[in-house]
Amino acid sequence: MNDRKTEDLLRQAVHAALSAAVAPDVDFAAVASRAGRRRRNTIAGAAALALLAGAGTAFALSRGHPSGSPIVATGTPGSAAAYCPSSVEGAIQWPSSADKWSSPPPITGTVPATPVAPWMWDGQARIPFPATIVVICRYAHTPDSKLISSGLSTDAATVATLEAAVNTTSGLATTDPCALKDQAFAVFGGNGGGATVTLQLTSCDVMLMPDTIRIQGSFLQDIEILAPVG
Amino acid sequence: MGLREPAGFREYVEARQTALWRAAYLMVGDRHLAQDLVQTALARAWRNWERVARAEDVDAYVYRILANVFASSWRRRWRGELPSGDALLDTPAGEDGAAWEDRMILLAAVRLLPRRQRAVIALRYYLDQTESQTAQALGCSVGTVKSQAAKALASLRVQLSADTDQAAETTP
Repeated sequence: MNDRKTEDLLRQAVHAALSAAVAPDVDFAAVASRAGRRRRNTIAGAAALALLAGAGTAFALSRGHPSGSPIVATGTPGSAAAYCPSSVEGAIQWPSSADKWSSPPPITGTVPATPVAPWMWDGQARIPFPATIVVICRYAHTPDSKLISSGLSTDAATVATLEAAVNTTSGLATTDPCALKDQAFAVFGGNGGGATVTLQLTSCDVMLMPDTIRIQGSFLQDIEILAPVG
Repeated sequence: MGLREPAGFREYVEARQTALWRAAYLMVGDRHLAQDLVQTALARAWRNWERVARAEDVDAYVYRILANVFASSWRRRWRGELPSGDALLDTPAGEDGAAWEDRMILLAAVRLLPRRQRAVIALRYYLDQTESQTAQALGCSVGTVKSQAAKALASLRVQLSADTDQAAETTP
């Protein structure tokens, strides 16, 4: 029996097995309460972060580039397109080890053979290794999801700054009305590791998906420098 | 900053709550944990409903939240706990007892899979997500989804064969 047929049989069996299971009604009041609970926590968390802002910023900058200095792209904007998964009929072909960017690029630094670290499953930091390269791929928020920009950097300070921004981001939820511009993912690689983070770029910030967590600081501006659109 | 219900949220939930809960059940193997998982995921979706509703594929977006809550909740609270294997449902009146038993055996076999394989089963084979969508939901590569699905299928084959053999041996 081939795999496809086995999969179809499993699909039918799973649907059949659950067909008589009656789901409890969703308690909307409880959902609203949980949504509100998180929001209150967020406010408290924001206050604590404000208190620690000075020390936190100093720490982040000590790993990254000096305050005010520009993000350094390697190559010209769009030059990383070869490392970005293509979009076929609106579906971005999600990274796999077969993608071009998982091979060593013709620049300094090495992109790992195992590109995606399952951080969310293993309790690791989102990028649990010191990266040496970052690749940014941006896709249009349109039905065709076409690749609209790309960029990469192997500049140590630039990579460290972006990595720190992602790794130090925590539960800062948002309900801001910023307009969604496009979606992107950032691939961090180097030192035997690899990690992909999915991003949504809005008119005023960057969200780490799928939790819709705002990435603080100049991350949006940094992305725009590395992979500008228009 | 009120807690007003977002427009369209209730309609979406009412249309999808059964599918969400059943998928959650496949992931956690316990009806109460499944309810908790769905509620947590929906609370996240509520907070960001404007963004969720604008998504090209709202279902895929919500499934992704569900999978991520499953992953992070497992890490936070459910580490070391095994699915309880509670009775999912009583035998419906008039239903063939053997068919019902077959269903329960399959669900029990799914409960024995590692958590990520259970998530793949729920997303790929119950929620009918593509490999690419499943990969996005789980934050992994398509290759990982394929390998996890293959391992899950192999484990289920072994488990279900063992159950069949055992049943044959005990049949007089």
